[in-house]
Amino acid sequence: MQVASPPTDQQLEVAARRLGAALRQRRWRLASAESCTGGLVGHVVTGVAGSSDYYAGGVISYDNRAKEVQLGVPAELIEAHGAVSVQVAAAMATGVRDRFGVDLGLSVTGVAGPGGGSDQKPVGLVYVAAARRGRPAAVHREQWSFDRDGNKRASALSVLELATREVEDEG
Amino acid sequence: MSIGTSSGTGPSDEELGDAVRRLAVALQATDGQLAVAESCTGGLLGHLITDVSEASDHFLGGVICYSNAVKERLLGVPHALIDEPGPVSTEVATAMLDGLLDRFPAATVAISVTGLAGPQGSGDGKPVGLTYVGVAQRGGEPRVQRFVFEHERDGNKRAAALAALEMAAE
Repeated sequence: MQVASPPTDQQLEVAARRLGAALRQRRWRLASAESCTGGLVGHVVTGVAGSSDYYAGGVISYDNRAKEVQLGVPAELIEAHGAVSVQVAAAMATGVRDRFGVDLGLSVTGVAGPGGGSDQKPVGLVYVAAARRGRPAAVHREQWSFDRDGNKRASALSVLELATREVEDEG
Repeated sequence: MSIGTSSGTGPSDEELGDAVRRLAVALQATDGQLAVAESCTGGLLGHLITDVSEASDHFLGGVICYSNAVKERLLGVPHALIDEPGPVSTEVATAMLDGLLDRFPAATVAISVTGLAGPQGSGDGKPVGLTYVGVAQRGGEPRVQRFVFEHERDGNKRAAALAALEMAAE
């Protein structure tokens, strides 16, 4: 869903509080794997006082090697589909979940811009994912058209909301 | 070294942006490759570093080791150090640097941040705002500095990030 302007600090904070409350209710712990957001999701999650009760931490896998070594994303997956792909987003989310031994892993991989885009992977293309223990990852594709900071913020909001839905899903 | 200012918000976006650009220039000049280990900053440092679009030339990524278990499991910080002198200490900041350089073999520069952003303290008498920032060049002696910031939670995170960016650019 594309909106007119990127999320504000306040919108991000509200989303982080909502995710935190949902995690608390289920007594679940969270870990994050961030590529294009570079740590913004962790920063927003830890903006909430008391977040150490449910946030274990995460990996900032800016470099592709970090996705392989720190998260166990298979190199072949990155070669076959590219770092910005459904498959890599899913592998990052399940990888961080399993390596950190938590109930929910989330991930973000995308092209924040302004450089680095291509016809197939344009600037603003982002995949966000959330993986519950024992389940495959839920992955969303987003196509933003903000500036670099706006694309990062919009991605952070999207993954916080996706993660919240996964926690709140009673199934 | 202690920074004793008590404005609520800490450094401005502009100050942080300037520090990020200075560090980027310093890393580009030396072909440096940076990795970060963040505890109390929770990802803010990585977020700021990746605000410049050339970041992928000199930033590999890092570990957000918010929990002590992650400090141990992901960064190999000895459990004994977490017990004593505790996670917010020179010793743990140094061990985080060692672990990071192990985990990121391509890194030439490592930054670690561990502190108490607040509002709750650690329960062992360490003050809110107490923060240790470490910087190491691969093969060099690690440097760790102690700070006590007196902002709100977000201001303490921002002040810790600014201190780390400035130390790494030296």
